[in-house]
Amino acid sequence: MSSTIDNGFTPPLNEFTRPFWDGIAAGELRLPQCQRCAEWQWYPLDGVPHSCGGELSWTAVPADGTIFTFTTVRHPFLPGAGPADVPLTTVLVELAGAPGVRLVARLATVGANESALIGQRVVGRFVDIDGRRDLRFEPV
Amino acid sequence: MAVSIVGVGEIEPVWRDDRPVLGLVVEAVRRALDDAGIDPSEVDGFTSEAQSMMRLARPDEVARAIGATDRRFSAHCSIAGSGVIGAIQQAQLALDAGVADVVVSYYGLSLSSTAGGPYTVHAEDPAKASFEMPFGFFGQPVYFAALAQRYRHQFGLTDEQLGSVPVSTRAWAALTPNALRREPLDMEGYLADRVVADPLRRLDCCLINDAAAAVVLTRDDRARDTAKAPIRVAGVGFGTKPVSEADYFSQSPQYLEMASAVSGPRAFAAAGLGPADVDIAEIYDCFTMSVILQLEDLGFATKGDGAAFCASGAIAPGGALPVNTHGGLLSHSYTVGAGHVVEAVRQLRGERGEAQVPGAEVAVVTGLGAMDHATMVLTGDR
Repeated sequence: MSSTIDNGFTPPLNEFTRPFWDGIAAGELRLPQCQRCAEWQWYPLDGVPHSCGGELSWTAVPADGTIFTFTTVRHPFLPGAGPADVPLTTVLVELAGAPGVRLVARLATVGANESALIGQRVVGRFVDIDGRRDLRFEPV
Repeated sequence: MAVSIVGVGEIEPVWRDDRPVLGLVVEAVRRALDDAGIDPSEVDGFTSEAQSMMRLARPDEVARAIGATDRRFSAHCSIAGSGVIGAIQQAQLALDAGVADVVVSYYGLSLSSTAGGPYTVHAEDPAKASFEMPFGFFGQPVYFAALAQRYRHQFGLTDEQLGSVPVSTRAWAALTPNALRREPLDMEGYLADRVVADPLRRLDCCLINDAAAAVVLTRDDRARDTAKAPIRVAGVGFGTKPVSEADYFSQSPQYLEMASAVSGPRAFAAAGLGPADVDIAEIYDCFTMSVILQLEDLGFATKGDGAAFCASGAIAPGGALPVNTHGGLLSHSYTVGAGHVVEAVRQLRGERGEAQVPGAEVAVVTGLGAMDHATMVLTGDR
């Protein structure tokens, strides 16, 4: 099973990456957390437990955090993307509920006041794009 | 016993060369051996970057192509620029241990024949494809633009400071007859260039072309009878960030430090020298931001002052620390750092004509490969 996203790029879903997108389809942000030491490991390594030896479990975490950095992309770098797919603002979000994780995310709109974006609190909204669940962040 | 670079070679910089990578590499290796005055049959060691050379120009093939029949030592190292410099460290170790007597270290690439160009290597990573690309975080210019925005937030960064890097680098390229981009570039021209990912313009990004370069190394007992003055490998340092390649560009701790903060001090310690001793610096310039960050990590500027340091004119012709004196990856050729080594050797030999830095005796050369980084200190006849 694969899903199409609004820029035409299809994530290759396998046993390794499927839980993330299954979470989004279910309206939850799920990330791998160690069941022994409670550390989040982002990204997971395929088929490998946490470095402490504990098993990783995909755990729901609120899509709520602050922007660590961002860029507004003006050239269509993604495979298959064209001029209609840009500009877009991509951000790294430090999640309040998952210390140490910087979630790669996309803003729902192109960032307006760029200099003020870093440090801005953002929350994720689950949205339907092309008949499919996706996650977009908005300033609050 | 000390190890020196005794020969350097590169294919002439070109946008597109239809030969496969092996053909480009073998020409560069032959040129380096000619430069050293060493017969190819004497080569008994081969080192190179791992990620692409293991597929595209293996040591057995290179040895077969040049007629080296006793391949006693082969090694591969890391990815991209960190592997190019790291492979020279492997050559140094093998020579010092007496495992080999004449080692060739090489790199080559053919982006004109790579579907998807330089971005493909990232698109093939399942973590990036699933956790980054769907949200538009894709392509090396995007990764370095995100670094630049954080730097701007933390320390301040003007477009003119960024632009001082490609403008300076182009000035060096203008003094280098075989550089691919030699036409004059001033700040006005930089500012008029198209932004690809805020705040980076096309001119903040390296060239995309086909290239190959090689160096020949040997111990000083053998180096005495080579054709040109040996350039000593005074010290090499290798360093890493505690992340994997997949998560480097989003999760790296101390985000505005590259692994050069680790490899730089190691290289200086091995050489018994420091930043103040350096006459020229050939810094891995995949992007303007990587130059600024590495100059800070290596101690040429304090953290947060690297952009102002570049804008001061220090890195330009006539400046206090000439940087990328051939035009680098931004204007000379995208050799993934192998050309930086060739240039440093030529500078220390005094062969660079109009671009020669008078009295250059100590050079630093760096190579970046995502979470890995290598720094090398070279010295001329001191």
